[in-house]
Amino acid sequence: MSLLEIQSVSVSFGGLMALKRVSFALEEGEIVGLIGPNGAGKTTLFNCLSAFQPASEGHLRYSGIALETLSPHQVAALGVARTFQTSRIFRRMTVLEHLLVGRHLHQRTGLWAAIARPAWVAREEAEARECGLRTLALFEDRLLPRLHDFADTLSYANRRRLEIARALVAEPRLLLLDEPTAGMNPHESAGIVQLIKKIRDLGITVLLIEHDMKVIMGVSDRIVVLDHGEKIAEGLPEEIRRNEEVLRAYMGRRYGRA
Amino acid sequence: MLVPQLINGLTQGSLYALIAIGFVIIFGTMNLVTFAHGEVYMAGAFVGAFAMSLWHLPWFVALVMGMAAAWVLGFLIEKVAFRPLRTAGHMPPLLITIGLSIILKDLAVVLFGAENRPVPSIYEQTVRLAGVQVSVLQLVILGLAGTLFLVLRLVIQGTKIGRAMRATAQDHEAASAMGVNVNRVFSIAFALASCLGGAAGVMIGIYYNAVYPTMGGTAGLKGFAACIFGGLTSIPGAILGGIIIGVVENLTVQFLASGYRDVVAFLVMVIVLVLRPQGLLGRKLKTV
Amino acid sequence: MPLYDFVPRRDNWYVWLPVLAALLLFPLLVRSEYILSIAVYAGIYIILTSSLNITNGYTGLFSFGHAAFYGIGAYTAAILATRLGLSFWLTLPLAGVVAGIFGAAIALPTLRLTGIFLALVTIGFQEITFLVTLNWIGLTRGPMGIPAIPPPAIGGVALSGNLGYYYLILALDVIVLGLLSRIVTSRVGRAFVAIREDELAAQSAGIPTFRMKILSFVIATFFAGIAGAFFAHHARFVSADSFRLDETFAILTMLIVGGMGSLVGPVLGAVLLVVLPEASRFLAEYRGVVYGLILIGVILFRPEGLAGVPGIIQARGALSRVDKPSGAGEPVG
Repeated sequence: MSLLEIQSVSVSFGGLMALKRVSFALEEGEIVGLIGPNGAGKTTLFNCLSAFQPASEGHLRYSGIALETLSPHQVAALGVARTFQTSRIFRRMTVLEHLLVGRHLHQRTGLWAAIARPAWVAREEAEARECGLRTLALFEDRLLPRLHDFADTLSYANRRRLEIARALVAEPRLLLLDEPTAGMNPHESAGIVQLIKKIRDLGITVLLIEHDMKVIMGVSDRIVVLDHGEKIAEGLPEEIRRNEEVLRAYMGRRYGRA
Repeated sequence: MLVPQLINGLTQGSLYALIAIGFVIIFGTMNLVTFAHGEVYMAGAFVGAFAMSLWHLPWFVALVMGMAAAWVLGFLIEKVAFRPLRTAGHMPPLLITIGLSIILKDLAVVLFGAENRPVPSIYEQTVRLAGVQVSVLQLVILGLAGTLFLVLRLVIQGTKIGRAMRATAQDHEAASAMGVNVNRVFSIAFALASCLGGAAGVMIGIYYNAVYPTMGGTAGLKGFAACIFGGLTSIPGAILGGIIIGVVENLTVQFLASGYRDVVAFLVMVIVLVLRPQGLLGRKLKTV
Repeated sequence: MPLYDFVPRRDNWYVWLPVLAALLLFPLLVRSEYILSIAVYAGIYIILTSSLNITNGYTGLFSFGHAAFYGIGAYTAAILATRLGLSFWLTLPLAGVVAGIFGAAIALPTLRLTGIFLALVTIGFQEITFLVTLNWIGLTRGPMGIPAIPPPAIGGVALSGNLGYYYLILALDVIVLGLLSRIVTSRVGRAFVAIREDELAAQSAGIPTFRMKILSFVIATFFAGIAGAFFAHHARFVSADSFRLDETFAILTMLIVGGMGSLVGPVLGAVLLVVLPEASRFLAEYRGVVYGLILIGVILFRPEGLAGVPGIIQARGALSRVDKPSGAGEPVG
């Protein structure tokens, strides 16, 4: 059984089809790149997967569980974490607090435990902190020295890293990354490529939206191409690189018709 | 008994509608809510009351003076509360107008006393229309409200400033790029809205023969409820909302208990906001 | 360390010892019944502002109906004490529970709304509560209010002067602030702040945002009810006028002046704005004007208040349902 099966999913916004019968599957442990020109429906697909956007038709199966009827926090509880295209950080929380929020699903302190503070609450917090620090170590010295800084004081690239870290501390099985290198310089992007490989080595399946072809070709095991809401190609990076239809979609229709 | 209550409701409702339109004009052009509108209405009512009781001026002069005072007050409020915070979101201007409303109410109490001030009666006679006794004053109020609705429509549809207001309502930046002085539009829209509130204040003072400093609180909220009914952006919706609230209130007095009449407006407001935040006639608002 | 970061924690609790000692000694230095009564009121408002801070400050939900829940608590205590003869020690928690139930009942249908629309619904609820209190004469005695509420008794001895009330409210404040501090420094409090900062990101971190928002509302209204019960047994008389929209605005002003989103802020705001009008006869007469001017000044020049977390009022989460930078529509006649 595939980890994630997307079966003929369509999304329409008031008659406008953002996704048209898109189908593909993700196997456990893969890194799959999702590419396509602007407006191809990549982020819409992410929003469907994380239950922010209901699918008009089709099915989404995550390790056999239907995602369509769940709400976003329930999808997260199944082990699907995501980042957003425009960084959605908690501006007035520190780096450490982001990681603790990221551990939310692995903790169980409710109102009464928060008030009574039995011993396990302190253990749980210490564990979350440990896990947060371990996760930050993946980013080398980018975030660790800024543990108690407020997120809105971080650089743009660090905010993106923080978002990934927040998703990772939840120990997801599937990680959805929406343009993680947007706004980064080539050196920083290369760091993200290394990071994504490390994430896979942790046993996490990654679905990645990316515009930077160098990143996508360098890291993906397979690539799915969307254009105008339709899947136009799927295959190994070399295949996609040579695919006529993909070239047409990227180069614009002029070349296509010629 | 039903028909007179309906006419009472219509009269009051048309005044609520005047207040409600003020909220619509302000929300429509600036996308902000003011909380000081009730106090502007109260200020207009006091000016009108003084004009009639102290200076013995005829009611229509009092009306013009009340509207003028409200215009000036509205102009100033826009300058103080809204202009410095145009990009700060909805909450800071709302909070500032809450502050202003507390100040204005308290000042009125300190300056004029907390008690009711009498306003001379006018047009106390009644006429028979289609077999029903109607007070002339109610007809005057209805006629006046109708005239103001028409004038407003003409201003918005047919004048340069009306066109500028409509353009601004669509898109601030586009309007500004097309050469509309957006700041001026905001000033005038706020003043115009306040002026209608002032008119309602003067007329309500005459209708009930009394004005008092706290009159603005409930009236402002009722006007707001009426404008919610129309979805915050529709003038016809606000007029309809005002009239419905006025009529249902008077029916409540007739069939239930007079103490619960004011509940109607707030119940309407809560129910409409919960069930249909875009109002009954308003466009569907874009949600986050 | 910025003032808003000043949270009583296990590692810094001793910092608060001198403050507590000073507060314990305070009545021995000032033996004035009048000053003590002001201190008692400040104590009540500390509970009100600190609880409102949970929704408005930490969770970023703008509730404008706090005085209604304060009133519900006060009336619950008054009715239970005068009709059923329950003691203060029973009416206090029950008032909190009843106010919290009302809070949940209001929150369930309305928390889909955010920002300004939530503010307006809570204002509507505030007015409805006032009018029902005024008109449901069988339950509330309407405009006559409920007199002769018995004072709290400690060990069989009823409190008489403000000295007893002072120590009682001091103890209550310490307990309430202790509870609130434990809540906001826990996983629950982090979830509240995450919702305030970015609701979508909070959801995708697995936080059930709707349930947490309800919880936040219930906590805030529960403590408002507690404050109401204390008020009822202290004033020994309740009437609907004490819990009108003006009262909500007074509490809100204290919270904003003190600063939202921190534990210290609401305490500072409550003390400052209760004490300030008492400083002179002039200020007392113009109390509303003073409050209004201070509120406007703070919003214009220091929106984070004395010790609040900056940017909550202007936060994206605090914006309205209409998340659109320009005009909302066309005012067409």
